[in-house]
Amino acid sequence: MNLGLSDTQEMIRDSMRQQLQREMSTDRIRALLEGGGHDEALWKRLASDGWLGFAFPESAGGGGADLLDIAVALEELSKAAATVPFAETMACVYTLMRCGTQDGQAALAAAVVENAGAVTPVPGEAGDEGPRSVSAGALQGSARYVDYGLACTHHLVGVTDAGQRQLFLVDARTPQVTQRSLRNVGQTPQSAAAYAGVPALAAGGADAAALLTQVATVLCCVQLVGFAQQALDLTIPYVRDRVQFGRPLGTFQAVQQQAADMASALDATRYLTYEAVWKVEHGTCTAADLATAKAAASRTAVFVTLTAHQLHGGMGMTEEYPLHFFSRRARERSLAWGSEHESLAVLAGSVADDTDWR
Amino acid sequence: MRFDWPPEQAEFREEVRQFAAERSQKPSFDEDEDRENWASQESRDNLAELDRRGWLRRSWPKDLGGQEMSPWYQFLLAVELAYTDVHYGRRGTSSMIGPAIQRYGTDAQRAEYLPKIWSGEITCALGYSEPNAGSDLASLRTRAIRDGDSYVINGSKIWTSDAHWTSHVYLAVRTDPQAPKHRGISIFIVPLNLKGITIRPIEMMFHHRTNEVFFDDVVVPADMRIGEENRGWYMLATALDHERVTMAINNYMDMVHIFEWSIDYLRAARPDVLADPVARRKLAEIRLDLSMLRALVMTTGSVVASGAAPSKEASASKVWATELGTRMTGAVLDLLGRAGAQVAGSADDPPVRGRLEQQLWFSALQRFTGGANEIQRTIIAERGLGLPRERRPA
Repeated sequence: MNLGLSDTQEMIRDSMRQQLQREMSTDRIRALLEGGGHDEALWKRLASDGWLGFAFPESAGGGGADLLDIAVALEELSKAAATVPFAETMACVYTLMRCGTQDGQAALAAAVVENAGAVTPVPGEAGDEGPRSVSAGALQGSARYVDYGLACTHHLVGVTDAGQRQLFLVDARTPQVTQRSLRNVGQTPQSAAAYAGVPALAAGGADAAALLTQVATVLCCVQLVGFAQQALDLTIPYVRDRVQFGRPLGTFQAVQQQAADMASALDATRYLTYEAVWKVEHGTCTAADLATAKAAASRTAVFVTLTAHQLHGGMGMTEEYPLHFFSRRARERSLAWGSEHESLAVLAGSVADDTDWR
Repeated sequence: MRFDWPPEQAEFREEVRQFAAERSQKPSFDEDEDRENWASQESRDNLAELDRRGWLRRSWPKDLGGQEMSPWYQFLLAVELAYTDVHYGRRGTSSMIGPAIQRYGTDAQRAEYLPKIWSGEITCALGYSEPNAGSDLASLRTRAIRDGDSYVINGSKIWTSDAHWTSHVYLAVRTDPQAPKHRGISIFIVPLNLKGITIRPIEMMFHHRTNEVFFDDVVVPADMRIGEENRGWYMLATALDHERVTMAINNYMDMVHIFEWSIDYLRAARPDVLADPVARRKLAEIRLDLSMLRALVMTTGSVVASGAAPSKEASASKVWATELGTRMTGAVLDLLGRAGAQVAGSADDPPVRGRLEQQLWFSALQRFTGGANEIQRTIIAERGLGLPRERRPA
């Protein structure tokens, strides 16, 4: 049991943080969001700095990152409000490198490492429009709520056939893929996609499909932890410096007590999130573990960001001040990969029978 | 980062689990139990056996009979024994008073008290609160006046739980009434059989007894003072941090008991409730809250293991545990409707033998003992988050 970061993880955190501090500003993020969201320039920088090869095995010329390393990098990107499909791409890369087909792995390496492409998971979960089918190597069907669907060069699509789910990699730039842009509360790029006989490469079987959902879910939790952490990190100096009634807001007990509750909920959620990441890495994450982490992350990120708004007052609601990026994204990600309600429903299913969860 | 136990700690946990299984006091959900048996011979035997195995001092320095191993060992020990309700002396004497004497005591005091604390011969009640010094503990007024090689103590303490059976009280008194309130306090370890000490019971609403303790010209040898004169507040603050860690571990395990018992009870007595999706959803919410509490307790443990003093983490665990206690017991009672109102002794079997009701009030109490939750939140904000101190009268 050790909650500290390893030397490598500290290096990952620091180098990602430094790069983002140089590049990200509130004005830049606002301009990006007005222009559709995807930060192509940052993606190219991540590619040239080697971050896209990060999760490929060292034998394939990659960085050999495990899921905790990926999580540490992702939390920094989330705290900086970066709008790049890093979580999406890493979920696909990590999954296929663990249990994808050889063809799938090779195609992914060509797409991501050689061509700085991006991949998004379309796993076929509830709320996703189906059905989809593959025959003679071509994918037919549609999908809703594809994160960064238009920005990604490839989609990793789940297809269920005779009760077995499989993953297929498709090139999203081919004319057989049409996408409509969606708008969501997180202001992150999203689309609805239609696949009309697009060539589909068999990239993984049922185990890969199951792992993809786990990985994408825990990475979503990491994003939520990052958004909540940043909201808290904005709030503390704000209430320390802002003076009303002749004294800093942060000296008022009513303010202090709310800040304390933000921090406690976040501490608990951070632990559960990284524990779930660790369990996925070690192949021991149960459905209840995953649901617990996601329910906690969804609930806490929304609670912390909304409380941050309360403690900021009007300034926190303005477009010039960055808090709204984090509260919007927390709200949107809290609903993705199992909302609090959906996650609690999973827990409710097993709550009477689970043993040894304490 | 790792979230498992290295083999030697996992092995230790197994050993503790085995020991605990043999000596467990934890009844099943439908058995009666005696909650006041911490004073029993069995409890003292357990303490002596734990000490004989070297488990109570694994993390202590070698020259004090310890093994200088990771603090996680003692954390695991506390967690497993709390889960199985194995009683060993007065919980806290070995985990709170022992370390304080180790850190602040003289060589002679260490030699005198530590072996007796480990053997269970010395058990300590905590003599902190007074009728006019509750949350504002530093304004305590019980006086100790130096008289040659002794001090003469006058005043009274309240909420001194277990003082009717412990051998000693770990007592905070004022030794300098002229100094600012935090700088005139000293700590004594006082045998409760001294002349001039009177102990009176206070009955609490949930079948719990606590005490008032009166000191009338009690003469205490000066070598019973622990640490420097007038530096007691700072020792107390450390002890209170450790108390909150202990409270958090015990509370967490109590919550787990009640939750498991509630599920067992529902399965046996009210399968209709357990089958109801709305009820299960409520239970799932509690499970989530329990997992968040586990996370805070583990985070606290990791601070202790790193060698730092737990402060904001211990406070967060304490707040979460005690507030979850009322929320959880309340939610289960609510699922049961009118049957939830039946209490122990009723002709109609009360749910979980009345334990839900008992825990409800106990949790309600724990929200303000050991430092009220409002104070804990202030600690988190000021010490943990660095918010400016509120202007408080000195």
